[in-house]
Amino acid sequence: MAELYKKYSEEGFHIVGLECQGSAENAIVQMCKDKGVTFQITTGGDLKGANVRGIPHGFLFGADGKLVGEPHPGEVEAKIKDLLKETSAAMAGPGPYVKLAALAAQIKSGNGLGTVLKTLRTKKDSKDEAEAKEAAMMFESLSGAATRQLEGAIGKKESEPMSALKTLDKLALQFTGDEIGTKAKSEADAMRKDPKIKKEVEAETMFKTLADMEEKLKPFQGSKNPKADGFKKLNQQALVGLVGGCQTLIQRYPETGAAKKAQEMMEQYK
Amino acid sequence: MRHTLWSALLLLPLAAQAMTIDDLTVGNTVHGPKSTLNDLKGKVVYVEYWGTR
Repeated sequence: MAELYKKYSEEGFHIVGLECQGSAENAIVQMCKDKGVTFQITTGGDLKGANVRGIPHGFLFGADGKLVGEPHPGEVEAKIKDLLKETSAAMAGPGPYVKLAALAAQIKSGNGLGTVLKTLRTKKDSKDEAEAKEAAMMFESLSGAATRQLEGAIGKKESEPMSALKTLDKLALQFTGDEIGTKAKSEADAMRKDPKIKKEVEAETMFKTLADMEEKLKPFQGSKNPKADGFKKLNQQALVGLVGGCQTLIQRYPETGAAKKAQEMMEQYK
Repeated sequence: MRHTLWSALLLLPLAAQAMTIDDLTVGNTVHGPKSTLNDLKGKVVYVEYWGTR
């Protein structure tokens, strides 16, 4: 799941790990470090009605909040990909939409949503009652989803600046012409002028290069265990470059999120 | 009695199917992003019962 989170978290996928064995916090943090877990782990959490038969045991929810199922590990990724495709569609609301089917389809595409909101504002006052009702429902759902995403991004400007910036850029583009798009652009522009954020962006760009280098490391006997002698010997030169790159990033951009990630990466391969 | 038992067994998966993300109590975050239930709305969420042992 750690890998799936890294792969899809920027696309609207989230994991909550509910620690249910009463483990000490330092044991949890250490295990997360050892296993490369970056998703949210909590204590004292619970899922009402969950019938858990051994751990790990997972429950998958769609963007509409409904339980999709308890997928087998082998099928989780495929299900996540399918659900993420539906996330844009979920912004339109449950429907059904007859009069405004074309607008619902446009929302599903994820493009031109600023124009859609503008159209919906007019159609909410339509003399056609059925159309007005659909417009009100669709507007509430779309503007609600967009507002939550905007507020979420603004809320994590300090703690997760790169993720916040990515969301703001996406909203600015999707909602061009609407106040949500304007606000998102204004927030993103302000972030980019912040010297601290500029450093984060540069550091993150550098880290992406290191992550690509890591991806290209060759497996030894089918494994990429960084502690295995065979793996280290096979990738000797590449590892020197990788560790050196991490050190450079940490020196050049200390106290950035990317520096923390580079530190963790370096500790794996030193 | 048997009818009642079968009815109860048939209803169990339906009860699980009625579960929504609102049934989640997030708890106290000790690692990773500190997302609240509201932050999870509109996202695809995997809730995993997890342990260190």
